[in-house]
Amino acid sequence: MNRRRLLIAAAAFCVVGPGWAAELVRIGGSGSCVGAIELLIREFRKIHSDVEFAPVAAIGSNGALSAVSAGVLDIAVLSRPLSEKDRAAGFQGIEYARTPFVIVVPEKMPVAGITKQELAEILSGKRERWAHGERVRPVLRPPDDTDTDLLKRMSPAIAAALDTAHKRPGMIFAATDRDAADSVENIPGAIGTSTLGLVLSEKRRIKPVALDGISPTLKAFETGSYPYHKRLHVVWGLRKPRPEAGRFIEFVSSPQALAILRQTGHQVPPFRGN
Amino acid sequence: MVALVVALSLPALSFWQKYRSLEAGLQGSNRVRAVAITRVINQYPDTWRFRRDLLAELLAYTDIEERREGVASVLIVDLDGKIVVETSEEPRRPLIMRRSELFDSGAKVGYVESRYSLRSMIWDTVWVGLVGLLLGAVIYTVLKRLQQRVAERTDELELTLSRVKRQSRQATLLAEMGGFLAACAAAGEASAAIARFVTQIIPEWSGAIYLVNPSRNLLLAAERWGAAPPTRDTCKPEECWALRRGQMHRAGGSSSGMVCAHVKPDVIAETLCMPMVAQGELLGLLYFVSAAPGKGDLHGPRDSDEQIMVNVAEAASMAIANLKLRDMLRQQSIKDPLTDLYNRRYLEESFERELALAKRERHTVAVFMLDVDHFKKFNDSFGHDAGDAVLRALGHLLKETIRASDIACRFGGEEFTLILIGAGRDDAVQWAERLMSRVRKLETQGGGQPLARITISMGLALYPDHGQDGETLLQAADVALYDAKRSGRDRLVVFQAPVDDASQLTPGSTDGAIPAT
Repeated sequence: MNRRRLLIAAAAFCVVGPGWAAELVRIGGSGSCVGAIELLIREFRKIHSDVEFAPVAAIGSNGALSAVSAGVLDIAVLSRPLSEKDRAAGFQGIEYARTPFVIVVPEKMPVAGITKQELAEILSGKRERWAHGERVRPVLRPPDDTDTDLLKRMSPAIAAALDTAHKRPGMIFAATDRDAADSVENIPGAIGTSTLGLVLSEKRRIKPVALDGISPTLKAFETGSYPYHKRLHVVWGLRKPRPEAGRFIEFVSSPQALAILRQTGHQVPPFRGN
Repeated sequence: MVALVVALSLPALSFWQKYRSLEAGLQGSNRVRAVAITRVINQYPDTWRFRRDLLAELLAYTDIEERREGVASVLIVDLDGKIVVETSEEPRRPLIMRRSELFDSGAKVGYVESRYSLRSMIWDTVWVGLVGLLLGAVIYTVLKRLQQRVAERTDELELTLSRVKRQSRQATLLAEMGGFLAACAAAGEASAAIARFVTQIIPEWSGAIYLVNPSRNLLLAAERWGAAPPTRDTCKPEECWALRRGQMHRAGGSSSGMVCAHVKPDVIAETLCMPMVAQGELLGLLYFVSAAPGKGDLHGPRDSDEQIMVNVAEAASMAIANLKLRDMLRQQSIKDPLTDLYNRRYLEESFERELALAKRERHTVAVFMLDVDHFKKFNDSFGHDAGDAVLRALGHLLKETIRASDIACRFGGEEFTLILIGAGRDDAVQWAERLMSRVRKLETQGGGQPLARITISMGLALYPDHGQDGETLLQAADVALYDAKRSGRDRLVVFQAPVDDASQLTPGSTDGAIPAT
């Protein structure tokens, strides 16, 4: 709860900031969405230059919902579907894209792929070095994070290894998707989780690696050979969004927006399979 | 022990409490530092060792106290044991050190160590120790005094208990002695009982009981007791200060009293003399001598022993006085006051006993009845006082002439009875003749004037010749006396039993008169 309040406060600071104006549209949410949303805002403003946006706050899906509820944000972008509890609280939204959930390493590291077995060994501490000799440094997400949940679903061995990893002292933790991407970018020998959408939209110096020999491309995802992904949503609260925010929500489903999303590793509606 | 525990536990507890507090503080702060440093390591896994400013900044967040020069230091050491960062010089020893490990993505890469000097804590403990020592000394002194007081009280209580027990036992023995004394028949027996009981009542004292002789000019030792009894058998009343002063007298030992002359010069122990007096009459002396100088002190105060001695002396005095009184009453009941001879009552009591003895021991007994001749006429001529004087003189003569084992009685009026134990006919006759001769020569005075001479008539009967019992023998002697009177007086007649029946005694049945010569 404290963490959530902290995120709301951070979002408020980022969104409201020193130069806050009443007409600013305030958007925040999962780091997996932020990069692509920023691209969409840039495109949207080409059409609606009168609408001003506050910087998009990467405060995580849960933090964004709380901020919307508190009236600090107009729109929340989530990397997970709304739960029954969320819907009961009055949140509503649309799934605007899906993007592969990927295992990433630093861009320049000579590693192209990894197996689930190797991943489990890395997480449990059994495998300490990469094949090229560099030390393996896994970047973990908090136990209740969406990425942790998705990773655990990959295999029981990975789930058990993750439990072990969370108990090991001195492990590297990243609170948000962006923190995780930063860590993998900067820490030598790092390995972490991200989304293809984040990597491409933010042009990160990290690279998704093949899992069990399958590269996590949009095509592989759409053909179903790579099944791991995140579902991205635009969410608003009980009250009707302000007109500017409403126009942006409509824009997210526009052809221009969908083209940008596809270019940055997102599957767009209508969704098939998966 | 309690003082030692206080003296040691106070500084020990103080040190332990401070040490634990410091240890917890060091451990906690070290863990926080380790987490922060680990984050830096995770961020810069290859270069963290060289980011000394950043690491030093993390280490700078320490307590103000720890930053004091020489008190505390924190250092980061890598796996090779090389010090990466150190906040200050090593603090003064002895030290308490706590380590927390540092990780690079879960792998140990070194440790952060906090060092803290225990010197100030030790000095504090020394001060507390001094206070504890002082407190312990105070407690020790107080406890020691309390212990001493308790010991004193216990000793007093035990002494009191011992005294009470002793006094109770003494009282019991005294009462028991009183019972025995009441049952004693003679002063000698009473003395023996007193000696026996005093030995038990006050065993620390030796002693003796002296009884006054009939002439009251000498004290004779009747009994002695104890380990060191006096050896003198007699003493004169004037040789004892107690008898001279009429009160208890203490001498020797620690006493400043004059030593009695009856005490032997080599006696250096304490002595106590108790006069035995009853109804103003001196009966004897109880003499006590301490078995060893000062030994009495071990068993209670002198006053207690003195009191019991007084009680013993009183009981002994009363017992001996009672015995004397009883003896006097008995003498009065069996003696004739005029002649000081036994009376008829005593004769009846003792004659049968003597006859039984004679029967058992097979010896003879001579029985005389004698009568003053013409005593009525004498009385009429010279008066009753003169008659009494004659009877008194005759009684005195009879006592002189008989042996201690014989019995002389005033049978009644001017008639007397004599029992000579073991005397046969010839002895009895000879003795009677000598008596009659002395009576004829007896000079008496009445009212300052010489009185007329008297004669006596005597009848003799013999056991077993003239009878087997007292009554028969007395009757036989009386018959013989009658014959002596009838034959002319101033003579002895021996009873002559009839040939066929000795029990039929009649006048004239004597075997012949022995006239006066």
